[in-house]
Amino acid sequence: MFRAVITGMGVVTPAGNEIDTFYNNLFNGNCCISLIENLDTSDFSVKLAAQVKEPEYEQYFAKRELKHNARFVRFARFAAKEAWKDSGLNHDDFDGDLCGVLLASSIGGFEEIEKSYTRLTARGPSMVSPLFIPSMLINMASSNVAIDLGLRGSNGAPVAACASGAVAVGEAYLRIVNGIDEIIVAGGSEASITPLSLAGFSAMTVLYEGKDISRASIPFDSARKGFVMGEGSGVLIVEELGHALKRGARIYAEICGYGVSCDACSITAPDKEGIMLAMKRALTCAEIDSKSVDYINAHGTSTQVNDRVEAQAIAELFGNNSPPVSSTKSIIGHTLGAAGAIESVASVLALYKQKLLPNANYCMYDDNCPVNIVTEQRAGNLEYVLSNSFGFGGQNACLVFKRWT
Amino acid sequence: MNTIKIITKAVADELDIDPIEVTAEADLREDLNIDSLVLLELLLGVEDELGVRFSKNDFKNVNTINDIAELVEKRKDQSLAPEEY
Repeated sequence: MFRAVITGMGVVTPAGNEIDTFYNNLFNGNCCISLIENLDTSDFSVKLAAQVKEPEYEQYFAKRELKHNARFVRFARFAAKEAWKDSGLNHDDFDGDLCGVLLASSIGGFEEIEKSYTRLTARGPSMVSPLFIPSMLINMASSNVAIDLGLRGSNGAPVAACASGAVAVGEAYLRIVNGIDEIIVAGGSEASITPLSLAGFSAMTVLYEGKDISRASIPFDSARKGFVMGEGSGVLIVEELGHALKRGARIYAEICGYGVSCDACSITAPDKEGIMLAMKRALTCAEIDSKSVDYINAHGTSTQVNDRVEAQAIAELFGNNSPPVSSTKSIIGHTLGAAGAIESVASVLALYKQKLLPNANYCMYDDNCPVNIVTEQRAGNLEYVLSNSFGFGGQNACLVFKRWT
Repeated sequence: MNTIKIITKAVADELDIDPIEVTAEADLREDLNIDSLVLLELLLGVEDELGVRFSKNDFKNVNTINDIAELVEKRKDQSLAPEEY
């Protein structure tokens, strides 16, 4: 068995498009939710979202190169370039045949589907763009990044709804430890602040529909009323340890465990047993017991049901002294298929900086969520961090990261 | 704007360059590095703007802006108003 380490990270998030800004906003609990700007919400009950400020694409791309990419593909290409640069990899350091890309999305080019369908109904089939399909397919993020970086090994886009990003990172880990690839550019990307997306999630009654930013995304708080739509991308360079050491790479943390499960009982309702199984499988994979976990980066969406079930699963598995828990979604909303990847970056930063990030705006304890919530940034002595992600379909994915010393 | 100018502008917009840099004789695929799907997209825009309709196979015979302009003239007889597409 080989070992897998993180040697580079890049983000496009509502909390910033470079790692330092993202870290500062996240760990200081600066909530990045605001009124929706780019579409008219007068007919919508949803008013708030966590929106990305356009990255400085021109650092890496000519305008023409991104013209026919969906927004989620542009996010991923930028975040991957940032992660690659951060890793310090250069042309002589890697064999492109042994390096791959796994970039997930939950939905892909929602905006392109909506626009093209509108064009189809208004103008007829002959007016649908020939670039519609290749602009929006879910695997176009991984495909474009492979072209950008010249990586010809494993490639794909795992789809597991809101667990997609975590599955991408986990599958990258499996490919590295099994010696299939030497480096995987892994992560997720999503751009779902669109009319159809908001209408669809709103119809499911899972979105927060008020206007109070400080009470909008409050995972585990008893007053929580649904999640806030986010968008963005998180990309990690997952590298075989020997490869990283040989080139003198800076190592942020090790990925040492990955556990997946399926509730196999409901399409949308989370299940305590399924969540516990994924966490147990991740701990077993990491060869640690529950006492070794020093912090849990929760899925914590801010819906009544998710947070209750997740908290109860954590309480049951970890006992009365559960490790500190917080949810990144309190700050950047729910980025769907990117969430597991962005939260992997957050978990790795927690280990690297030995800090716990707060569950922003948390103030009302919920008896149904009996876990130890981190309310403000604090120093921690962190050896192992668990990151949870769960998706519609009952798909659960948990990752264990270990401090690198 | 005449046909050549409209097509030149569409090509320049696609390439994100000044229309002055695009010549009507340049080979769209070879010289300007426009791939076949992007060329189809360009032709769709030209159809839309000039109110003509190309056939499915027209793009195969198109290599330059001049070729597109000739095609527009050829198809003008069959032109339809955009809302009739």
